[in-house]
Amino acid sequence: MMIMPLLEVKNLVKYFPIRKGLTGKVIGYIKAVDGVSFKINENEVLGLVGESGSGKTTIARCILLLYRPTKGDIIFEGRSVLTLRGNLLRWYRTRVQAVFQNPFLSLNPMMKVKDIIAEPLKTHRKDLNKEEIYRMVYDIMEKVTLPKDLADRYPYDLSGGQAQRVAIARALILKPRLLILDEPTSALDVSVQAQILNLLDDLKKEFRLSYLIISHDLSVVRYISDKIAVMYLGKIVEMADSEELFEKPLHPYTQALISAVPEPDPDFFKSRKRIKLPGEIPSALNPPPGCRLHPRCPLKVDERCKVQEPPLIEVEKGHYVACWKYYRR
Amino acid sequence: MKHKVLEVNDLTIIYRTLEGNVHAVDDVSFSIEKGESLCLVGESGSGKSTIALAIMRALPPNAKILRGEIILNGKDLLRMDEKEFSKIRGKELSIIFQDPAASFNPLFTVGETISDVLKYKLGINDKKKIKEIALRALKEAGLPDVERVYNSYPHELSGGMLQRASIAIAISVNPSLLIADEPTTMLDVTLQAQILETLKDLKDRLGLSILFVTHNLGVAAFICDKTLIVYAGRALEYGSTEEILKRPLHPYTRKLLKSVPRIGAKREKLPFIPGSLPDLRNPPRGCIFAPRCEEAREICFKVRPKMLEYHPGHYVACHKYSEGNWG
Repeated sequence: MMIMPLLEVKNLVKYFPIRKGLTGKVIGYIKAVDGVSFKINENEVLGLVGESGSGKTTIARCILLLYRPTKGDIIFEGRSVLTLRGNLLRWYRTRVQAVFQNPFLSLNPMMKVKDIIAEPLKTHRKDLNKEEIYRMVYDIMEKVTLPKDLADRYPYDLSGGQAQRVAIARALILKPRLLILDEPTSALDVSVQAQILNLLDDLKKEFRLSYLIISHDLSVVRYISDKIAVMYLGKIVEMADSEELFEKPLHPYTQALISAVPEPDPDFFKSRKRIKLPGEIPSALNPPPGCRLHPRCPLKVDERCKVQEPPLIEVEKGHYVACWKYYRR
Repeated sequence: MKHKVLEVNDLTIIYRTLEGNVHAVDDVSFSIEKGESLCLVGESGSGKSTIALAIMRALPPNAKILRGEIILNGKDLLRMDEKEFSKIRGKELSIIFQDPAASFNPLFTVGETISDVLKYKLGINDKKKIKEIALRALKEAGLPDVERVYNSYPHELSGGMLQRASIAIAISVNPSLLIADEPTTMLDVTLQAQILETLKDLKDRLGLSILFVTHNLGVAAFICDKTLIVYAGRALEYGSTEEILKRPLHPYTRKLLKSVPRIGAKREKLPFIPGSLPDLRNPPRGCIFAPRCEEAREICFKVRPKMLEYHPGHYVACHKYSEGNWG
C-alpha cells in the first residue's frame, strides 16, 4: 500500500504578469515557478536549494496560500487546498505554519513575547480561557529552550537566536503538521545557527513534524534534510536523498553549486576542483529555451539541449535528475 | 624585513550611548605587509566593522577613539588633519562594502562614478585617459562587455556585476590597501566564489594588500594569508590562516570552527556556544570569553589574558597557554 504523503505539490506554476502604462496592459510574464512537483511525507524534511531568483520562496508562498498559483495543485492530507473555504481553510492554516528569515521583522515589536506566542491560539482556539492559553505558551517556551523570564520582554530585548526561537514557538503552538522554514538561520551567527538547527532537529522528532526548509546555504540544508531538491530558474533540476545528493551529484548545476561552497579548511581549496558556470542566472522573464542551464552549462551542449527541455527522470531509485546526459531510451 | 603597509596598535574605541559607553574595540593590534591579505573574523558585535571604519576615519559621531595608532605607510592616520587625510581616502585607501547597490549613486552611470573618482583623487583631467583607465579597471575586475557596463546605471546591473564595478573603482586608484567589508555576504554562493577568485587574482597579480572583514571562516580560508579572530571587541587569536584553521588554540576559535555545518561531514549534533555576548557597556573583568567558556577557571574571571606568541607567528590570548597561570 502506498503511504499518503502529507503534502503533495503537483505541477505548480506561478507566473507574475508585468504590466505597462496606464491601461495596465500585460507585456510579459516572470516565470517564477514553472512546473514543479514534489511530495513531503510525514516526519520528513525536504530541503529546497537554489540561488536568488530560482523560485524557492515563491513555492513556499504558494503553499502558505499567500500567492494563488497560476496552474497546478497543492494537496495536503488528501485535500486540495486551493479550493478550501471557511472552516476547512482555517483548519489548513493551523496545520501549516511558517518561520521566516528575519525574526525581528516577523515579530510585532509592540507585543510581549508571551502575547506573540499566544496570538495564534487567540485566533484559532476560541474555546480556551486565558489561563489555559498562557499555560500552553509556557510549555512551548520550555520546548524551544526559551527562559521563562523572557515572557514579559519585547522583541528588541532579545538576541537573534532568542527571537528566532520565539518565532518557532509561535509556529508550533497550534501543533501543526508541517513547518515551512524560509531561510531560518540566514540572519544568525554561526554559533547561534548551530543551536537553532539542533533545536529544529529535536522538535521534528518530538512532535513528528515535517519541514520544508528553504535555503541558499547547502551545508545548512544538508544538515537537516532527508531529501533535497535543487532548483534553477523555476524548475527542479535534481532531487535525491540528502546523503546521495552530496555524494553523487549528477546535474552539472548541482555539482557547480556544491563546489562553490567555501569550507573553513585550507586543504579543501587545494584539492577541490571548482566547476565553474560562466555568467549569471538569466532573468526569469525570458528563460533560455530547451534546458535552462544550456547557455552556462559546463558540459558539452548539443542541439537537443538548446531546443528541448529535459524531463525530470528517475535515474536511480529516488534520485531524479533533469539533464539529457542521463536520458536513455 | 617586508614593508608594512598597515599597522594597527592598541586600538581602543568606545561608542557613547545614553545607557553608557559601549567598549566596541579594546586594545586590538595587527599589521598587514605588502601583497598580504588579513581577515578580521568575528560574529555580530565583535567590532570587526568598527575597526574597518576607524581605518577609513568613517566612524559615526558618537564613536570615540580612546587609544591607539593606525599607521598607513609610516603615517599615523589618527594624528592627521582632515585636509591631509582627504588625500589618502579613496586613493591610498579604498573600500568595498557589503551592499554594492548602496555604494553607488543611482542617478549616475558607473562610468560617471568611476570618472569622478579618477578626476578628483588622481587629478586626471584628460577625458580620453580617464575612460581608458576606467575601462581597464572594469576589465581587471572581471567584467565582460566593459563598454556597456561603463554606460550603465546601477539598476541595470546585477548584484554580482555591481560588486565587480565597485571593486573596479577601488582598484582604479592603485591603493596601497583595499578594505573589503563583507563584500560577498549578500551574494549567492556561485557568485561569491567568482568574486573571491577575482579578488585573489588581483592580490596575486597586482600585489594588492587586502583587509578583509568577514564572519565566514570558509571565506577566510580561501582568500586570507593571516587571520585575526575578534570577539566582543577583543582580539583572541592571531596568526596565519592555515595555522589557525588547522591548529586553533583559543577555546572560542575551536568551538566556532566546530559549529560550522560542513558539506563533507557526518550528520550529527552540531556543537554550539551557549550563552550570548557579554554586555559591552560593562565588560567582564577577566577574559571576555570566560562566561561562555567551558574550560574557564578562576583566573579567567579575574585577570585579562595577554596576547602571547605560543608558536612562532601564532598568537593567542588565553590563560591556558601561559605557563604558571594554568596549574
